[in-house]
Amino acid sequence: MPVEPAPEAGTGQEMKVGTRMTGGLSAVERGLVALGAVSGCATLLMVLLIVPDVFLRKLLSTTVPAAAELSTQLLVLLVFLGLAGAQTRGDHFTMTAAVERMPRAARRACRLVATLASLGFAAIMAWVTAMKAWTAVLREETTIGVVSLPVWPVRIAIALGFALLALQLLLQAWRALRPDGSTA
Amino acid sequence: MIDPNIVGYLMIAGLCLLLVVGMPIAFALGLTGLAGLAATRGTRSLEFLAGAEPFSTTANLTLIIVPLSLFMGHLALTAGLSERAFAAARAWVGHVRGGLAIASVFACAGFATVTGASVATAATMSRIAIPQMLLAGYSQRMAAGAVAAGGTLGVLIPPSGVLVIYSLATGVSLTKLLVAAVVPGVLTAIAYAIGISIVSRFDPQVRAAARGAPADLRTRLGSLARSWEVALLFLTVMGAIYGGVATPTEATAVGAGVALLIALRHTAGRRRELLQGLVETGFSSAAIFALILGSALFSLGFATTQLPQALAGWVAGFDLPPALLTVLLLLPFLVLGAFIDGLSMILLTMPTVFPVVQQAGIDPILFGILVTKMTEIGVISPPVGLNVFVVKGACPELSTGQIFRGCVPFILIEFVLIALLIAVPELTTVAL
Amino acid sequence: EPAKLTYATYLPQSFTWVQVDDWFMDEVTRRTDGEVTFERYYGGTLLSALDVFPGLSSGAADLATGAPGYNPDMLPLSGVVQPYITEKADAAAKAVTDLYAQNAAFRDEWQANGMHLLYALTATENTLWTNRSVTSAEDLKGLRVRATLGIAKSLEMLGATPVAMGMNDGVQAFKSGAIDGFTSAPFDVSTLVGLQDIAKFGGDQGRMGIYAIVALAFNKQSYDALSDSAKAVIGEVAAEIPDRFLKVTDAAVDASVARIREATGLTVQGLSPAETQRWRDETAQAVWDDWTSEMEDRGLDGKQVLQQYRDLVAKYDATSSYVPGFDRVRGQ
Ligand code: NA
Ligand code: NA
Repeated sequence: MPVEPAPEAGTGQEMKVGTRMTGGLSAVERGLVALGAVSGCATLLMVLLIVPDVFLRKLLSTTVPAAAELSTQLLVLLVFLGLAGAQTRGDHFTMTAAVERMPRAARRACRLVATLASLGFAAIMAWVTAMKAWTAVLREETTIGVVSLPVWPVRIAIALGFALLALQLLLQAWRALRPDGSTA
Repeated sequence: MIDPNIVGYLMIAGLCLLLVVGMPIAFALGLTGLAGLAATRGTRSLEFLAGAEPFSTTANLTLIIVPLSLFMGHLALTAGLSERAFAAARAWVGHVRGGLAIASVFACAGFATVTGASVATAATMSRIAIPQMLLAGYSQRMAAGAVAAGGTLGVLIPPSGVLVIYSLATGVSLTKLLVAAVVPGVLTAIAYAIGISIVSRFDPQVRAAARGAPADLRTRLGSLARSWEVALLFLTVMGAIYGGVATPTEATAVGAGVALLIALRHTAGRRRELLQGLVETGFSSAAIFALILGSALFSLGFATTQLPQALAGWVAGFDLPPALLTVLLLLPFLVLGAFIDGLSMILLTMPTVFPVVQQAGIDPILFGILVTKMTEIGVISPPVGLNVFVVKGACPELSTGQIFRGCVPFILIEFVLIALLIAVPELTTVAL
Repeated sequence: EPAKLTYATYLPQSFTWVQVDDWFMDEVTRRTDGEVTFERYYGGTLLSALDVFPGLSSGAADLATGAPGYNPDMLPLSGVVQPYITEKADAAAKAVTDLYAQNAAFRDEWQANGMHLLYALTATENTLWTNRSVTSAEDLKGLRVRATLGIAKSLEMLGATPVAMGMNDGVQAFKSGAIDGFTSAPFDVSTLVGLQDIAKFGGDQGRMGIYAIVALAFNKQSYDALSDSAKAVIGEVAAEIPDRFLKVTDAAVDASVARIREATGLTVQGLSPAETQRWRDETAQAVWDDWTSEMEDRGLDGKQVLQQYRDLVAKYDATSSYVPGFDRVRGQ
């Protein structure tokens, strides 16, 4: 069980890898990070939706139409459009304690297994969420509130998010497979 | 066909293996969840259930508080608010051993009275309190542990999302549960404070941080005056909730709006930093929600193996005196809590466990409080502890291992408190 | 040959509908001598509120209980249970089950999605919980109230500001005072989530009655795969469901009445007969028309289905012994 803590130095290393990687990113990866950065601005949009809603409700007893539904959809966009960029930047939480104690060759093998397994997960999720998005388009699925918003755009964003995550993992797997081991 | 229970054990083994090779935790949970689903229910069910899960887990109005509070924290930091709030805290409690960590726990307790979720509490407090504690020389372990564990007060002190689910799952009166939770909740905050004070004795870094004479009254009042914007922010958020203007989520949005205005005033020429805060919020949220989704997929697959139910049923089969049976009934929660989230845990096990609780004459209200405590141990226990990862997401410079290690004393405190509550059940019946 | 069926609901086990389902499943297992058994998932552990019927349709469960109101795109006609038609929970439930048997369009929307509706249950009558007194439509002006479905439309026309929120969010918002009222809450469920301890005033203003259904349906393939004898037993037990539902609901409503009487800070309210009539006159037809035109947009004859539902309700309404919750509270 990977419960033993990583030494503090390990974390520092982890961070440095992250910074160094930003330098050597491919155009695709820079695009994924940029997409995540743009979707990060959804938080600001939530503030701009919710704050007027609170004031209108208190002062004028009226509401911003669909503020709740829209903020919820923004959260979904924020999360799934940022999924691949977070992987590029190494933001997804990982237990590094065990891997760090392994010899170099074993570490490379582990990295390959971890990347391929992640790729498998992302690919399956991309497939099943794409199916779900397709159904949502066919059924013209809407939110059920006072205001009905279409759900399919968000469902497509989810599928897209997983597909891009799979793309990023594919790049990383390719890199991990290269004999020069330039990923270490 | 393979026995579903065996699939459950294989899922746990597979998860541990994938975590060891360094697969991102969210994806490891997700992949084992998918494998479990495929084994127990076939690919057709897998396609629907896994396809529906990302939307139904994420499209949740109450969870908006996570990015909002992370953003507010970033703004407070960029505008120098946290620094001034910390200066004030240091002037007042800096000379006390572990004083800042204790102050953080009580700040968590304060926020807990307005929110029902521990993730929200941990997310709100970590970005504000942890960097400042580290600056003061606190060890990562102490700084992060105090906030990750302090976050659990979000559920332990009413209102509490976990108690709502327990009430709905069992039919036990929610009002009675909430009233019963007050004393144990406050007791937990106090016990955490005492625990920090004791642990601080053995933590050279924290001891060193508290060296020096207490500040005089002038310095103290001056530091308070200089942190008026922090007070404004705090009053806006709390005032909006207690004044009946907004829900905690909305109040956090208003707080982020106010923090943005303050930050705009302080960061002329450094506007990029504000944008950077948004970007970091986005990636941290993506990582946190990926983990929430991974847990949900794992819980889903794990549920279909019937292992949680079997585990609960096995323990329920023993014929024992109530106090001993209570302890035994809590054990599955400890095991399950290592991997799956508290709400799923309650919904999956209660149909098996609750009838036993009633038959054995265990007080269902006390049991609800104890189960709540078990779910909160789950969010700070390895390998999957949501609060720990929320803290890590807010302060990426921390090491996950150190945060988990920092939580150990608090888990021990929880064990002591659980024993205390079983021994003195009157603590849950104290009327206020 | 033995069949192990997977049952899923998003509802927690303490709710009346799930108690009825549990009784149904226990009876089926007992009367088939264990040939048909059930693996049960409550509280959304397998399928969440929005996913119950889409999931059932795709075979992720063999039978499931959910609220068709969550899937208007999939089960539009099942939204026929509109407010202002009846206050008798059992009458509405029987009417919907009959409608499934008698109306081809209504039945088709279930069968076309690969589902077989076994029995329909209903939410108990609507309630309104507020932090200020509501004895006329004028009191609704500026009232920010959590509301859904037809109830929201009616209150909006009367001057209130409906806010769309889920049950748990709404309770929290109401508690903190972020909204002034809470409605679209069935009588028995409202006390389970503690509204009687939060609100200053509670009542059945407008007497909007039964406004939503909850239904247990089978995945059609799973159902067809059962032996003829098992199907016969299922039909036999299902026929006893209306009585069972009334019994369970009566007990739940009584328990709710007791909780409301215990709530010390609560004032129970109702409208004068004239004001009740006014709310109905001003909004009922418009709410129904709204729904039928929505059906028209989907190419469905909502008007005919609504009329048939109302006729069926009228048949059962007259003989129903069900007494609405707030009438029981006032009847002490
Ligand atoms: Na709380
Ligand atoms: Na855990």
